[in-house]
Amino acid sequence: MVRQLRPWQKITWGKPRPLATLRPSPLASLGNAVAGFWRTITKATLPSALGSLGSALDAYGSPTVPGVSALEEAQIFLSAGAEVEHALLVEYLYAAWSLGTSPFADTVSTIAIQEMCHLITVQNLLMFVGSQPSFSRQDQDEAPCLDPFPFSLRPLAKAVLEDFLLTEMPPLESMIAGDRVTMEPILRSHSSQGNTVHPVGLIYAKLYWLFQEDDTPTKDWPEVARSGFEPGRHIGTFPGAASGATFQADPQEGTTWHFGSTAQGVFETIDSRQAALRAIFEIAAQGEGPVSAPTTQPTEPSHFRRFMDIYQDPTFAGLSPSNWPINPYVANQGAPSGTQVTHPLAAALCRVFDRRYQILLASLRASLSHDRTSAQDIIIRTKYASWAFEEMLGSLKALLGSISRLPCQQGGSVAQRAAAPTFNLDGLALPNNAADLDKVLLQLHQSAAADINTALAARPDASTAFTLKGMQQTDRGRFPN
Amino acid sequence: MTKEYKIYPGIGISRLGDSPDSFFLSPELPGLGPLELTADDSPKSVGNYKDANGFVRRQAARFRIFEFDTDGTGRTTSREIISGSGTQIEWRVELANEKSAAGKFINEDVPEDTAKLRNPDVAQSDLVIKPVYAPISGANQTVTASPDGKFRGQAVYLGELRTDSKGRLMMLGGRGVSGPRDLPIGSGSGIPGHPHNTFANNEGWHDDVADGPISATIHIPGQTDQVLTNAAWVIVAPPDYAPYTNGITTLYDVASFAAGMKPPATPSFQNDVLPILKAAAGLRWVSSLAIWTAISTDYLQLSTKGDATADQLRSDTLGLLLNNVASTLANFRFTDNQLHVLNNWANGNFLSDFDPNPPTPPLTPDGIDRASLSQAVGGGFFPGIEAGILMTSPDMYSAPFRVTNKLFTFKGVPRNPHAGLITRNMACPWQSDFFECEKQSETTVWWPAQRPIEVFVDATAQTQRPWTDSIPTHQALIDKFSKLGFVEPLPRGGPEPLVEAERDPSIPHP
Repeated sequence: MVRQLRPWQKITWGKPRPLATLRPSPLASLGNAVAGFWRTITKATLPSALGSLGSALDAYGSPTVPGVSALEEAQIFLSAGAEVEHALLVEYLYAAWSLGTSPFADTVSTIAIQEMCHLITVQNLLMFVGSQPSFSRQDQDEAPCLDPFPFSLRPLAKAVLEDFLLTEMPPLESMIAGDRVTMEPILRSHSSQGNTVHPVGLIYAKLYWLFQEDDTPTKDWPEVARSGFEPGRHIGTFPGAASGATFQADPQEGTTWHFGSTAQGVFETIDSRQAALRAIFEIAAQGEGPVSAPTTQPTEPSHFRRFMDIYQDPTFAGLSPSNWPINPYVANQGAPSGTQVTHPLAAALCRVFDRRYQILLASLRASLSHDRTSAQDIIIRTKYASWAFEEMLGSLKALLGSISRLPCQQGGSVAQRAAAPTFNLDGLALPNNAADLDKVLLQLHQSAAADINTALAARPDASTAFTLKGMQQTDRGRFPN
Repeated sequence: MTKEYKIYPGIGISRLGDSPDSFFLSPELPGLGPLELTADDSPKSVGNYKDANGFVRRQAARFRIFEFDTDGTGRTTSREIISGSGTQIEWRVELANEKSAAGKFINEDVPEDTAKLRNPDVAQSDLVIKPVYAPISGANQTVTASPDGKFRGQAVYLGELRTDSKGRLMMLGGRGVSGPRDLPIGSGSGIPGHPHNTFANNEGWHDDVADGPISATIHIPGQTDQVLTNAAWVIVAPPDYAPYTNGITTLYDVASFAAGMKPPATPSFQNDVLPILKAAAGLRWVSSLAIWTAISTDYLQLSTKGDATADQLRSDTLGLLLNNVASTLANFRFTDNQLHVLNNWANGNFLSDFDPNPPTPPLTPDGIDRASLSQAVGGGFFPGIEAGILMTSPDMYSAPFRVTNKLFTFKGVPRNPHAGLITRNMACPWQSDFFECEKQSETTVWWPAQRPIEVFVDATAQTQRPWTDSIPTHQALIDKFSKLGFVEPLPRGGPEPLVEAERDPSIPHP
């Protein structure tokens, strides 16, 4: 059987372009071969045409999928982008939750919410280029080779925040002096360990190029046209252009997508090349991008800025170490470097949590499989979207509280190590057909019923029992038979 | 001997209504709800929230002057100063609505994005609605604005000043008018080529809520005139359609914590714990979610100590409050003071002083502050109802319930206390938020205590009906806000049940 490569696995990173006019940086002079991969590029030495995007491409190489058309390349990049957005939002959410009531929790939660918006907009972009929506997650790749960092659920601490910074950072040269002073030792340390973090923003830059009509620099992001991407490599027509009016998530779709609660995350319907370019640019600017051009949100803090503000806040260093585990899992989920949740009730609740998370994803996917212009379909579409938000805003939040009040280990204490949600996907693979998605949702709810019964049998307290029984009632309402 | 004069409440709340002349008073006694204006100042609960023609009566915030006299031993007594016998109180009010001129509300982290104005293409001066009021003094007087405030050249009525028979100030607000009619409104809508509207930010719109400082000059014969500049504040808010249900966390809780007030080491069940329990259980009248009826109302048992069953009930109730209630209300947090109270109570450290039939409390300055702000919700600041996340800022207060006169910074934005500051980041228009933000999901709700979700339509009803039945759009809520019912006790005078009353037949429950 021919093994199907995951989207990430099809991407290669082209050789860095020569930088003959550059002087070796102090980092390179350290004599560390990996550190030499990074160059501290100053404006005085960099050819002005390259700009900060160009410097990043020089540092990492240009992402490419060889042997396919521009359209297919975009489809692959967008699928990969969806997987990364999904992974990042889960990782950021876990980090935010681990902070409890710390003021930093709100900031990291905001970033996670914005990533949720990016995920939805990428789904719209996928449909626009004729692909199906994808709610897969980066770690579902067998051999993810281009992760920003390996997928992991980690409580927010200095080292974790440094990974987040590396993921979201723009090129050094575009940073203000204070940020550069902060990032250089982080980069040095990361390089010395041989860890290469590929900024996802470069994928968006390449996507932008593919979506451009021609090689002419655009007003929003002119650097892309001057960064050495293959001339003439642009998508001609978009097979899914009509989806903007039918299947894509639309902020104007009443309150279905909770547009007002999106924390200014980029959430747009894609019905034209211009709309696609604008969305790609805004996503890059908001989060991951090495974008130096002004955006429509000139003072909207980027994810890098928000993470940096936390990192540079004196109170962050003074935070007590978290009692949350790294990569929690329950029996049979496996994670050699993780922490098994062995407290019986906590483990049972983690399974309930996993199932509700899977229901959330399946509901989102199912919602997008229905046409919002059809009088019959819109009812089903809205119903499934409401299920997703019930899980997001109700079930997961309530279960988070129940789980984190329990010790991770049987016989242990919360103070030593609290239990935490496991976000396991159990290999969830969502079909594209609406009828098949209905079946998957039924199966997930049937599994959820068993999970809830297991948790109830573990004698939870009154509050958790109330939560679980509430879910039972909700599920009976969804599937009365 | 020293004398000090203060205006009470420190922060008063008026409410909109479209009745031309009928109004009632904001709560002044803790636990009693809004009051009718009586000639002898005796407390009388409001009879009807609409006038004889079905228009919503406005709520007036009444302000009083108290004199605090401290003798040589340090003992302080207080008395109210009223007009008459040569004593005169001259009141001055500034009021403004800056919503349309403000930056967009994004979330609690960014209550105002100054880089994204709600109306970027219009001059700020055309958007700030700021009427001018002459001073008012004496008994039974009325002062209307001259000139009126304007929104893009059109007059907008923000209210008038009145005095009662004893010269106390009564601030009445606007008529619930939001406009214009012909622009898109609501999340996802928008003027072509412009950014999308949201529940809180609707380009081109205005409403008539407002806020601003209250000042007074007190002339007492034989004494130097006392000038109290910007010594209190008024917020003109949307109607409270369920005036006998309170938020589980109120603006009083938020403001008292922000101002640094500490909870008692040993909380009183009656005064500290019971209000929280009653608020949670009371939401059953305005929301059909099962959590509200899961909160025990066996207050005798809940106030018992040293009994295993009672101890377990307290523990279970605490769990329900901290976990289930907290996750049912969107963007909700107990204040640290409330958590102190609840945790101590659950652990058995509390005064077991439950009284099922407490006497009517006497009028006190502190009680006026508490009554005034307890009516307002202290959470779900997305952006909220009467006031928003700004109220959580310690820097906003010069003293408990006293808005500072000094510049302060909140969420990275400098704030200069002035008329319009508190309401500028609230939803514009308020009806947009009211329409959209009843539920965050089927199991998470916003502020049912002010904006009911499901109601019992009469005393015999077994199930609840959507409060906004027959209100299908944002515009419908704007046009018919005064047709909606109020959730009131039936029979009158009894605490429960609370059912919908005074709903106009033109918006029936199907």
